[in-house]
Amino acid sequence: MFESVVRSPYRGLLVIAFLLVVSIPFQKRVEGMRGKFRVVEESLYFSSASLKRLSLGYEELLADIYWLRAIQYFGGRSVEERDPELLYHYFDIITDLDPKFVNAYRYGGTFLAEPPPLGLGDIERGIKLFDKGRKNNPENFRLPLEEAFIYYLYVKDYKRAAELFKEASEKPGLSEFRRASLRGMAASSLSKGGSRELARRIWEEIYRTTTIEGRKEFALRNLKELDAMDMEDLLTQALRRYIGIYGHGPSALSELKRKGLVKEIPKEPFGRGFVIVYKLDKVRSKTLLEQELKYNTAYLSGASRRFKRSFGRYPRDLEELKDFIRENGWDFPEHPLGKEYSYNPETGTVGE
Amino acid sequence: MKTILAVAYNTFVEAKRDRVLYSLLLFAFLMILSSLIFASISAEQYNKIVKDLGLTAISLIGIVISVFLGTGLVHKEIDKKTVYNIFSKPVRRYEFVVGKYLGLSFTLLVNTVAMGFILFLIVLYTELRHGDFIRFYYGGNYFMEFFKAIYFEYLEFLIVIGIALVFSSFTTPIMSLLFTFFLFVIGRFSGDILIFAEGVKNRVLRGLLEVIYRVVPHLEKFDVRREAVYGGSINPELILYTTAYAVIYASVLVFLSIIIFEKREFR
Repeated sequence: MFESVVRSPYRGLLVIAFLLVVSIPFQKRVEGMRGKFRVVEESLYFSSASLKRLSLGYEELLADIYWLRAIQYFGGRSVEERDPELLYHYFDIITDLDPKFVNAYRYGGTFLAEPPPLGLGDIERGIKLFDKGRKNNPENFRLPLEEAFIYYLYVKDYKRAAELFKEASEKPGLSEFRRASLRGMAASSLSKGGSRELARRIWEEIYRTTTIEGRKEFALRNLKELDAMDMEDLLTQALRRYIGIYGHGPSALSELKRKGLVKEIPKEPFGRGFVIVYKLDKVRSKTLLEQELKYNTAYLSGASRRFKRSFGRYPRDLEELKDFIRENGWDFPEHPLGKEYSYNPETGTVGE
Repeated sequence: MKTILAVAYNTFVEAKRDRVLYSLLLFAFLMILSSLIFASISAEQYNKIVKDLGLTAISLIGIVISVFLGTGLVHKEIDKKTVYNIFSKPVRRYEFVVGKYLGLSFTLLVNTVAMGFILFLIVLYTELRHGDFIRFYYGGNYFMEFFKAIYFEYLEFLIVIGIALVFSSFTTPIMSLLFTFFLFVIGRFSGDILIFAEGVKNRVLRGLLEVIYRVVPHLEKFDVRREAVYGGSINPELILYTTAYAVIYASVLVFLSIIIFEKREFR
């Protein structure tokens, strides 16, 4: 029997295929117990000095291999699984092996610094990577430009952002139009820190230049949010003029148009429409309103948990939570509908 | 069965005569012993240095022996024409291949036990001298994990011998050495194939990569050296499944060698 099997290659190969299939459940079980990616994770902790020696002079190639592995490894993980320290270490290695690999600084720095869900929200490490990139690539304008975006949008350090915009504008090889545009960004950042107009130009630049689909969508969403804010301002102004004239608010937004206070009720960029917040005499985009409410309640519930860590219990009521927040020098976000938040003292949860 | 054991015994005796084997073993012992010197200048990380260096030495030397002796296993018999002698006796080809595999596996077992024993004595010495530091930094010396790590290394050798045997049954020692080395490297980084596959959008390509991943040996799964230093769960279930995988995979390789060897013509 055995001999007849091994003497016929076809039967033999069938047996081999069968054995390999039998081995799969065992492979999967071992993977389940030990994880699929152990070797990759371990290789992340090599030092760049030892990798340089290992590369036998093919450092750029090794940097490319590491780059591919980093993209595959981090691209396929959820936000909770992505470790900023590990990611920084990885990009640090890549850029040690190939200091001219500008995209590694850009991708790594931005991914580290941008807030979740797109990035990891580790601004310090993101900036560190950009600084290293600027030092190693003094002629590249993209690195200071994108670092300036981070300072402007997330750190809100407009002076430092202006310095970086200026640095980018001084790099060689730029067209006159781009140079002028960068100088304009530097000036705006310095004089009108936090301006919506400059934020829009930044997001437009990100949208235009990024090749990463997720980031493009993120930039587009931010641009839409800025548009929605402009529309809110326009409609709020009209609403207040209406109240000034008639002494009370309109029953619906369309009345603003009917009374000639606005030419058109603009279409909300996310397609959700606007609502009148009578208590605050404001018009709000439904999308932005819900987003703000969600953010505020999450933030306040977090503060309540911090209270418990300090005092061993949740705040008795919202007033105690407010005092705790203010005592710590933080801001208490007001309810965007002008009312009080609901609060459950047993679970410490703040609701709408 | 008797014939297989006779071939296995002869392979073991022959390996014992090989001077290369002894020089490699000597090198391993020196490497293990030198870990004591490195440990003494390691800022109190005695057991880590001793175990890391010692287990790496056992693995490296075991792999080198498996590859070098394995790739010459069949070819040497053909080259020296002793294969005619063997097949003039009532020895079937598959018995010859299985015997060769078992003989080398046993040689490796003896070597691994010898190297492991020397390393164990050194680990024991560090425990007796620096037990307090070891418990302070690492929480213990994890002797069981240490033995399990050596056992897992031996399972890896079994697969590498099989790979070498496959190539040895149809090509020259130099070529089989190269092929074995390449497959060994692929096996050590097989996880990358899966990572790559998971990132590929094309379903056909992804499927193909997953098949490749399932077929290549997963040698990185035999590395539990970290647990030998830091502790960790190498539970009986993991040992069972990893052993089963190693045995099945080694059987595939031996079976493939037999098929190739059956078709081979000797002139």
